[in-house]
Amino acid sequence: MTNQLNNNVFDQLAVSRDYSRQKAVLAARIAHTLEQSFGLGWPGQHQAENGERTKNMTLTLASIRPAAESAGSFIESQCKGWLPANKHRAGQKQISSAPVVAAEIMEITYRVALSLMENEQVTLARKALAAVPVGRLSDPIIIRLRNMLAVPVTKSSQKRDIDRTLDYQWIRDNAQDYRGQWVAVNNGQLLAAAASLRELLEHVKPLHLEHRPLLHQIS
Amino acid sequence: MLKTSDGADFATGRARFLDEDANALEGTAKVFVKIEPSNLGFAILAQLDTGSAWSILKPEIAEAMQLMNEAGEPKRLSTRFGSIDGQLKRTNITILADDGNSLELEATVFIPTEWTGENFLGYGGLLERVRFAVDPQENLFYFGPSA
Repeated sequence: MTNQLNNNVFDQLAVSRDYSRQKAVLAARIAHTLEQSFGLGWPGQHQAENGERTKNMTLTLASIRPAAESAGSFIESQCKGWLPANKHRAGQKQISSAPVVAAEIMEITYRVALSLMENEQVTLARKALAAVPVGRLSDPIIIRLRNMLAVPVTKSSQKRDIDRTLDYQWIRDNAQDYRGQWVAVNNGQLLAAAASLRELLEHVKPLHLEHRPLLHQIS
Repeated sequence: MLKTSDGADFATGRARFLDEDANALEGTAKVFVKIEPSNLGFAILAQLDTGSAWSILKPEIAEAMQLMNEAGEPKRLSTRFGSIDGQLKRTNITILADDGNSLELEATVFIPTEWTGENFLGYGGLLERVRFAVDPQENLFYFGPSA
């Protein structure tokens, strides 16, 4: 799978709330269907993820195949109404093995998650990505997307700044004279002003002050 | 510091905020809080915006953070300035406290290719795991980690 997925058929469709909902519903159904049809997670997934899945791994391939074909038909029927014609035709080819279905489902799940993220539906995008099984999580694009959609991680820090009331007052009083410039202020006084942040940092980094200045661009 | 009804900490740090930006052309008050992006080494101001899907850092700041070469997710963000191209990147940002503890966040932020607006702290990927409260009388921003 490559980054070309960013330009796939999902992105060419008109964005609407109904469309987003459709995708969310599809993603949820895909996940649900996988759980119900395969029992052991995704076909082609050879490593057990937990005790329950280890048990289910004893299922034979013969029992997986009908479920896989069922999932393929399900996706095809779901996509029929809103995929462009060329994608629809591709969806009609006969699914010959469970791994192929798994790859296609993963691709659809990825596209759904990406499209939801692009529509700022962050929570739904996370839910869609949650349908990707552990065995498929090593795919680089899945890793990248999961990383971007990960909830923030917080940690308390002993780092502390000083009260900037005087610096805020300087900004209020003097902003009109420094429009477009980057300024460094400390204790209510201007330390430096520059056209770019890089230039400002060159000025303030060498300064050895008790407290580091506040940097701000007057836009 | 602020407590919940059962006595637990709601906020673990607080900082005075800038409640207006003299350069704001539309003249409406806004809340600017102090943050320190990783690798920058200095405090900067970012506008609190719970309506923003993502946080936004100016490209110059991302460059100073050495974030531009990091892998990101290409994205087009709809803003009041129109649609902006850029990338989502995972990085570390500290919300600075004047009193109590600061809060370090590993968060997802949007780095526009070009941007004339402010830095923003948005809900998705950042504020969604921060408890915060604003005291407009004292211009104090209270914050702490969400459980």
